Amino acid sequence: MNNVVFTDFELITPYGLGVDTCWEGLLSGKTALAETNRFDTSAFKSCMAGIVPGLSYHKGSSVVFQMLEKVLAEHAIPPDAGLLLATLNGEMDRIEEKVLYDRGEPHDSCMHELLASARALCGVADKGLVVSSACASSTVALGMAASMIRNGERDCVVVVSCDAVTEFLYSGFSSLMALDSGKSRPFDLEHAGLTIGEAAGYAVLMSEERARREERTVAGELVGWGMSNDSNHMTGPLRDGGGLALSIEIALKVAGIAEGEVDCIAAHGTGTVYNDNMEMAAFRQVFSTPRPTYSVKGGIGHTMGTAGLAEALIALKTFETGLVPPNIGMKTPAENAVGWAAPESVAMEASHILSTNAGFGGVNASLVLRKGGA
Amino acid sequence: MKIDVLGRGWLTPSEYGSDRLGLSVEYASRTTLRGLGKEEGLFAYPVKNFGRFEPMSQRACYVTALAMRDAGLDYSRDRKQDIGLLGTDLYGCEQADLAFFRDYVESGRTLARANLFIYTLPSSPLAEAAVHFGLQGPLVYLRGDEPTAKSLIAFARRMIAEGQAEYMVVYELSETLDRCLVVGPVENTSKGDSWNAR
Repeated sequence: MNNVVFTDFELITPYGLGVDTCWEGLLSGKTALAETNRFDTSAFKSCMAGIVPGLSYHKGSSVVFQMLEKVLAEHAIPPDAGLLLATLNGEMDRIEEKVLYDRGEPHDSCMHELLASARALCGVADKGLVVSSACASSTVALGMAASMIRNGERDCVVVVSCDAVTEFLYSGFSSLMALDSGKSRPFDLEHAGLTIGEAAGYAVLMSEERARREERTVAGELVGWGMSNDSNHMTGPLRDGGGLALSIEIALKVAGIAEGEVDCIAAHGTGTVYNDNMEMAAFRQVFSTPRPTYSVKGGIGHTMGTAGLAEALIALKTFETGLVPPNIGMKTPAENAVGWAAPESVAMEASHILSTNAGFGGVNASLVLRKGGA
Repeated sequence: MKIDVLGRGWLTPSEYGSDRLGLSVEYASRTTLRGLGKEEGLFAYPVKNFGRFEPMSQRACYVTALAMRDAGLDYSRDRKQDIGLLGTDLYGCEQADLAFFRDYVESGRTLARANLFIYTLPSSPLAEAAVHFGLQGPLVYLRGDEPTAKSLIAFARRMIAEGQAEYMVVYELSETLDRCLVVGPVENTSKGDSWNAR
């Protein structure tokens, strides 16, 4: 079986273009969430969002396409790489334009159209595959890509992911009463909902053997992945965390490590009471002792299908710098997060990081990343 | 371990059936697609809020029931099983997306309906099936160049082989013919069989 390593990657978030830009923003402790004027939010509980600067809305290209153009401008993706496009639901501003202005062609918003655009931007020969598993989409795609490489079906796969803040999604999350009226505060004593954010990014996964042969820079290894479903409710998580715990246990088994070897946790941490409590319940089921646990969503918002990719790339920065990022927006940890989540960054030479995501339809997905490789 | 197709269910606008059991039932002359949910013996127990499901989710539940029975897999209200779901179709949730956003715009862009929003993901029909049948394995919508169940079988096999689930249910949903396959381990080649599409 082949080891799977990260070689090339990039990210655009509300902090701006670059994994390093996002990392510095998170470490600064300052949130990129702010009031949005992209559309009228006066009817909603919140006016906050995580918006990538410099994008146009309902004027030409979709928001996700604009983000992909920026993030893929200087890629080093091998033309023979397999392609997986992970998204919650792609170009929802296309649907908006169709309904509001009768603009566009039938099926413009369908994900295979976005897949064709991503393929052209990546310059790969592979026809690719859309992977959609709600807010765990990119986590699932990374797991599927790693599985293909480990089993020798491919030696290189690029996972591209994108989701945008649109009126469509904002109104939908508002209808579910899921939005914090202010800026989201994951794992905080007063966490009260999520803030929607947008992001796009890509990661090239490669067999360790090929990376070594091509003298690629390696940022870390993807050693475990697990997926599960709560089979409980369309929008609410299983409160005892059993579904997420199952995905973590599968990921640890695939990685071939024990729970004691996980140094810290990059949690989904949306800021909703239901999600945060469910996650803490899951972590307490799996782990015998507390681990430093953080969410990036207080900084960049809930970037939906792209959340897992963003978290994985930020985890690679933890390997590089020896720092676990802070939980931005946190003042006092929620009772069940005491000893796990903190408002400050933590110094740690991590060897293994667990990254978790969950989403509508009861989906759960977990990754285990290892420092080093090649 | 050999992993193969263990059962198949299918649904058209006028008939439903399953392959291994040789089931083929005409229903259009006596009931609607929605009314089919009340048909005796189709589901082991009633699907909660079934009348509120959008049509693709209802169809996903029908073919799941047919395929699981065809594969000899029982299910019950109080038991979850390590069975995952992979699905594909042509246009994802486009119709549900349009229905949700049109409704929101027609109501003055102030109040959206949560019961329409929950179907604006291409994975939503699979999620309804996961809830009813107690399927706790991976749940993923995939859309490649060839949106067929056959194209997903390799992914299902790999997920089973690496321990993500014991069985996988694979869907190809389309208004003219919905197909559902149960993929799982077989002890010898006589029980499972290779792809032989209806």
